[in-house]
Amino acid sequence: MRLDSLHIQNYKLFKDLEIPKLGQVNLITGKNNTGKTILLEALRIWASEGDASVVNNIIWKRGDWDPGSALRTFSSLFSEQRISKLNGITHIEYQYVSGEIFINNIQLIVNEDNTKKIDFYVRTQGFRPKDDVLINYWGLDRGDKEYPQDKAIFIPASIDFDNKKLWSNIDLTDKKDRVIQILQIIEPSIIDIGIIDNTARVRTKNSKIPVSLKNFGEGLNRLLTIAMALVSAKDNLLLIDEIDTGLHYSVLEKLWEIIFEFSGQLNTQVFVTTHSADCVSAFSTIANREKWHGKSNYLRLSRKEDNIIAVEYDIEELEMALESNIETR
Amino acid sequence: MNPVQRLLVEGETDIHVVANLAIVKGLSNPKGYETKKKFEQQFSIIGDGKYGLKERIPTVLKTEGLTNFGIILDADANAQSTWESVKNILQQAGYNGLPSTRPANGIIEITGKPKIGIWIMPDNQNQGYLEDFLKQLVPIGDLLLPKANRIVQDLIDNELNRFTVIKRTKAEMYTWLAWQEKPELPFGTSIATQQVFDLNALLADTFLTWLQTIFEFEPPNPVSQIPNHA
Repeated sequence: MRLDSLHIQNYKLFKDLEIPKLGQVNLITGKNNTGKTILLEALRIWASEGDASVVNNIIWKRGDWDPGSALRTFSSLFSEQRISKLNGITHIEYQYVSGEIFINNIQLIVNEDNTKKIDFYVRTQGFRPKDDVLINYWGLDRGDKEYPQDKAIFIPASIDFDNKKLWSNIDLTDKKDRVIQILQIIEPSIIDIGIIDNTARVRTKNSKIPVSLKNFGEGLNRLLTIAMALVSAKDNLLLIDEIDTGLHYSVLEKLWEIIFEFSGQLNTQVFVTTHSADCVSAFSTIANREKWHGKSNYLRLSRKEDNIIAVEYDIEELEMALESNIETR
Repeated sequence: MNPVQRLLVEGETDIHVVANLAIVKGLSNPKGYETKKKFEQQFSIIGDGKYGLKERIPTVLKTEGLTNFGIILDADANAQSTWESVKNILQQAGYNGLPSTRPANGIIEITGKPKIGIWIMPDNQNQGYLEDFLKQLVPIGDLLLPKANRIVQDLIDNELNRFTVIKRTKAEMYTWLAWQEKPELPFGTSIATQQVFDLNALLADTFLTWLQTIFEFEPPNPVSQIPNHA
């Protein structure tokens, strides 16, 4: 799964967003409400081929679920809602096209009736084509209970990510050693980690009994989430929203180094968003190292009239801008 | 909403001269950059010489929400070719239909794009540098300038100059500056003291008019405004 470019049409804020070039590691900035998180959502939907549980989860987390109307609920997904009635069925269509080749065309066709039963129709074409899937929806109120069947690994901005989801594939493997290595960026004394009774616990050089990771502050908990995602994302997309949440600026450079290192080794394509100048600057330092040349991409989402456009910077240009105090965020 | 304004110059000296000149002449500070520190450190971008300045133009143009963009650069050997090189860069950034010579007021306005102002040192016509501009601000009848001129000429005549001849005004002006009451002061500070330069010189006025045309300034603060010793 790898995107060299991206073209999103009619998804939420994006009427027609084109990003001609993507790298292995992509950093996205932009003011509030320019669609940074929305871009990650679109990638989640693309990766899961429009899986209903993912779309459902996105709607739920955004608070867009409207118990009174499936039509209003699903309308929240589109920038220009192309809603039409055909044979008494309401159709909402959105197109999601990616890459040079026509990768995906997902149609969500919603049949709304008043009994809360919704036929949620997903049709995909082009990339890994599969037959039309008809999913019977028994109300969106499942959205908060069910894990979305994401194909991509998505780390939301909030710090209370459920770490145990990723843990089952990490425990008792060499991935755990790598997670420990990453945690040592902040806390070098950590020598082992486990998740027991839903709580991440670590053993340090100085202590005989494991202690809860929470004792080390929120930053380490965030880093654990990122570390677990990184080691799990082989041949996959890794999407991290507001990566710097809870992290001190002094660890960001080391973190980027690890992201570049792991994404290269594991063939992971990474999309990260941030507001932080320190995070951009740390990214630039690592991205401009010779061994990572040509691997990364930096862009800002920007409002232009009532559209969102991508303003792209090449990596050398980013470095120059940071050196001479030219704002890129 | 505040305009997003940026001034791109070749070096530190340029910005000290511009900031001090603007403040002394009662222009206050550019909107959104209310202190001298913000004027010099956030509003202004140092281009690292003429080549570096040109390289930075497209990047500055990408600044989120940019509304006003001033560029001050040296003519060096030729003001016209300097204009042409800037014009080419702007054309690549989507500024189409630019005139073959610099517009009389130095302002470029195209709908939907940041307003751009270009000043080519010293006076948008002649060859030279910031120092040639400052030379025009030396009070008429000044006795030290002819002397500095003769000494620099003497160096050139005897082939003792380590600078190229095109930079002779730079040598002259720094020599002249070192003979003032406080020999250690740089150009910017010397403007701020109001005792070295004639700040009512015609070229200073023309420059300040340009500065006010390209940028929006805060309303002058009547308390801190320095009286004009004309």
